[in-house]
Amino acid sequence: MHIEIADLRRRFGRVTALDGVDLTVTGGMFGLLGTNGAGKTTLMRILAGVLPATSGRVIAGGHDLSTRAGRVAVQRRLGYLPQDLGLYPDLTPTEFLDYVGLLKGLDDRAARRRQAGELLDLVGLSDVAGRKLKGFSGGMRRRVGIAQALLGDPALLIVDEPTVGLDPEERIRFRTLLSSLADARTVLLSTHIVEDVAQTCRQTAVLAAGRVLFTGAVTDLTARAEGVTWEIVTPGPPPTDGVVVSAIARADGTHYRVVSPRPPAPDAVLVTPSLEEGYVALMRSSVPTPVG
Amino acid sequence: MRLTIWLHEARRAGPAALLAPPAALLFAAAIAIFIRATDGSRDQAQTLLLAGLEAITPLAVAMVALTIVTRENCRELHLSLPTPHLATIGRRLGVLGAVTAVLCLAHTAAVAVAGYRTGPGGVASLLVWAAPTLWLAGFAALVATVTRSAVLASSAVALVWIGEQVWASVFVGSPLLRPLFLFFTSRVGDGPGWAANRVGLLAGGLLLLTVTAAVLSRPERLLSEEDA
Repeated sequence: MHIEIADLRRRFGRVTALDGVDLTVTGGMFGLLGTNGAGKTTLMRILAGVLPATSGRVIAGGHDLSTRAGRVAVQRRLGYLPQDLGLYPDLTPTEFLDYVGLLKGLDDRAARRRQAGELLDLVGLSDVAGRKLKGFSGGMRRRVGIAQALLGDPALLIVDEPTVGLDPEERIRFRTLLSSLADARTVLLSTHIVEDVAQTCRQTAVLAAGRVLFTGAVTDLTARAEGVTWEIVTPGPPPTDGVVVSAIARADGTHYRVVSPRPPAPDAVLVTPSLEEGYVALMRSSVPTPVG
Repeated sequence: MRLTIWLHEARRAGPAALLAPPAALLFAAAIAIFIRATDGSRDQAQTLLLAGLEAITPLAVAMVALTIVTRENCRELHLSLPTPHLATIGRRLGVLGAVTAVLCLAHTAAVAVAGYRTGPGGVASLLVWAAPTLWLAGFAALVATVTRSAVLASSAVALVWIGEQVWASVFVGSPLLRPLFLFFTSRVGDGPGWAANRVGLLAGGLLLLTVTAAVLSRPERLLSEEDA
């Protein structure tokens, strides 16, 4: 599903959550990065038709989200996993999917049941399909959440901070699942975990204080840190010049990776940057002046 | 599809939606039976049975209504679905209303058969319970929607209910407050002023529910403070 966002604004009283967002999202997996409070959740909610925009335009799959008819048309082709999906503890996953399926307009009972079964199988929960949700772990709840989002085979899947609070194994499992789903649909992943985007997305946008700082290929964001990413090995304290992205203690001293426009120490060595360093370089608004 | 969604919504409305109205009526009936069994007057028992319909049932229904409006674990998910969230809440309140109506009608019929009927007869007898129930449930739903707090809403409902009981004479005596008096039938009777009081409560109840629906249609009123 093609999404076109133009000059999107959203205010909550005196607080401006989105301040003139322009963005184009095409098929596949698209990562939306930003710190807490950057406006990601507000943008996701507007795209899901949960919140109206204060001004601006969103066209998704040819439908204008500023109209009620447009919102409903998009919601019929949407799967949404909010950041805080409460679930109903008294229901089993099968019952929960049956209920959400009905609200999504899946009227055929047999088809709804079949789809619920297939989706629980897809997310690896078919063996607990008859167990009440109250006993489920955070990762299992998130998987029920993705299963309900996939009901009706949506063309657009919006997932807001899906890996927060998951253990590393669950996170990897969830990322892999999302990647596999992006083959046939547009998946919009909102997160503040750079690693999630690095592992799954080709396209990304970075949001800060309600504005788009960057939009483009993940490799282009990584390239923002080229020529400004350094490694220093020292037994002493971390360098004060620049942003220390990682510090790994080894036998020969601590290996610091630093994003800085200047060499943070005389013996600093330029290294190939990661996406995280590209993100840091962008957020620092450091001008990537090539050194050398 | 229709029946299945109603069954789901009945479950979401919670056991209280099915249990509170009969509990209220049984409570009143039990006290009436106890009074009759302990040499209480027939009038006292009749008044208690009437109060079960006009005072206790509306209170029970209002408490359940505010719970239905405030207790929703998946509100954001509902707002993203093509079925309007307002329709979902409406169905749950509809389940509560239907259970209440069936039980109140059965209670009215049973009381009449037992020879303890008092108050207006015929279609007007519906207004004994329907008018105060609609008003108090509408008030409860509105306060719950605006404050998003079951504690505040239940406190407000309790305050109104107890206040009207304690200052009943003030409500009856004031032309301004009389249309809001919930217990006119059991405290004053169904003589002059009764019909106007019932119409006032029904109109007020519908207005409260309409405003509640308008507030429920604004998602920013329903979601938690933006983390943006």
